[in-house]
Amino acid sequence: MSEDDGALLAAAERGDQGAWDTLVDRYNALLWSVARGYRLGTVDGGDAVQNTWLRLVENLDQIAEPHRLGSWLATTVRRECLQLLRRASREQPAPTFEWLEKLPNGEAPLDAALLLDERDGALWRALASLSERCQRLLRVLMASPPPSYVDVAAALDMPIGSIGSTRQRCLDRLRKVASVDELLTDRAPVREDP
Amino acid sequence: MNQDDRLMDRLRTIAAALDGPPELVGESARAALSTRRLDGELAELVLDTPADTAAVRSDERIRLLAFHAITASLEFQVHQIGARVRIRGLVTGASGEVVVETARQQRSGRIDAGGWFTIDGLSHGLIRLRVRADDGTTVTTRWISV
Repeated sequence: MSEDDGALLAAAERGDQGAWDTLVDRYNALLWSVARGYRLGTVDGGDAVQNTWLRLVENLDQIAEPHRLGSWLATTVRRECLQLLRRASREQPAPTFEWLEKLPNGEAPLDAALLLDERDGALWRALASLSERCQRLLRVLMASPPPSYVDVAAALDMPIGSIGSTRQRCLDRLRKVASVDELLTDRAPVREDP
Repeated sequence: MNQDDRLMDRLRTIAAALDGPPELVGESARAALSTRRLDGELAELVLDTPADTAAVRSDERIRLLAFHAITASLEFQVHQIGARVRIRGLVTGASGEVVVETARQQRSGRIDAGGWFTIDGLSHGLIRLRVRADDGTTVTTRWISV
């Protein structure tokens, strides 16, 4: 069992960099996923995540429920995202889901190509045809390690009870669009070619 | 593991490969602990209000903020013109300098004889102000978003 958030927070408050790094490793991908889910680009997304960590540092001794740190962070990053989006809407046209545009013409970036195959590319591109609500929810759920539904609810300001059913509907839709079942079953154990 | 979980796992693997947090975002997050201030006094926000902007340009915004601490108080205007941010304010109870910290940099300005200071060349984002008094005391504000 890994060290709990409360113990890590207390250690970080005493200046323990190792404890802080563990918290960053635990939640940074979630914060990034939330920023991406809200359509922030690389620069604004990075700012939203960094602002969230700075606010945590400032409030290290004031987190009322340390065991709910994930939700606190998810709520904070959502507010940061919405604030950046409000500013962006005053200054420029609405942002796009930049994270889904990383595979133009089905070409995976070089480093990603090592890990991914064509079917993954097709799956990723199929996400773009889902509703905004589905794209956002799925992108947050894609965080590593997988976020708890409590944290996801905080990140998206949605009732925790609706996450499971919404996820199911969104994945069903994705399956239809991408013929995912085919994509997944084709992946099965590597066969020797005759 | 059911079908949905398997599909979600696959998406998670793809996202980690294609769209994980950039290295710099992780580095900045780890470095954030160093922004913790143990010295000095934390000033309390007592006013945060948009100023009357009827007479200014459409992309110009002015916001008034005030922070109070036991040793010193700060009142300042955050003046935004497009992407540029300028701060002009008044310190009472301390002489010395005002440092504006952002997530990436610091800028400082002397407090003049009348208590005024100006710091220009800032950009949007989180900032906090610190009064570094000549007698060695410091007063820091909370992070504010400009």
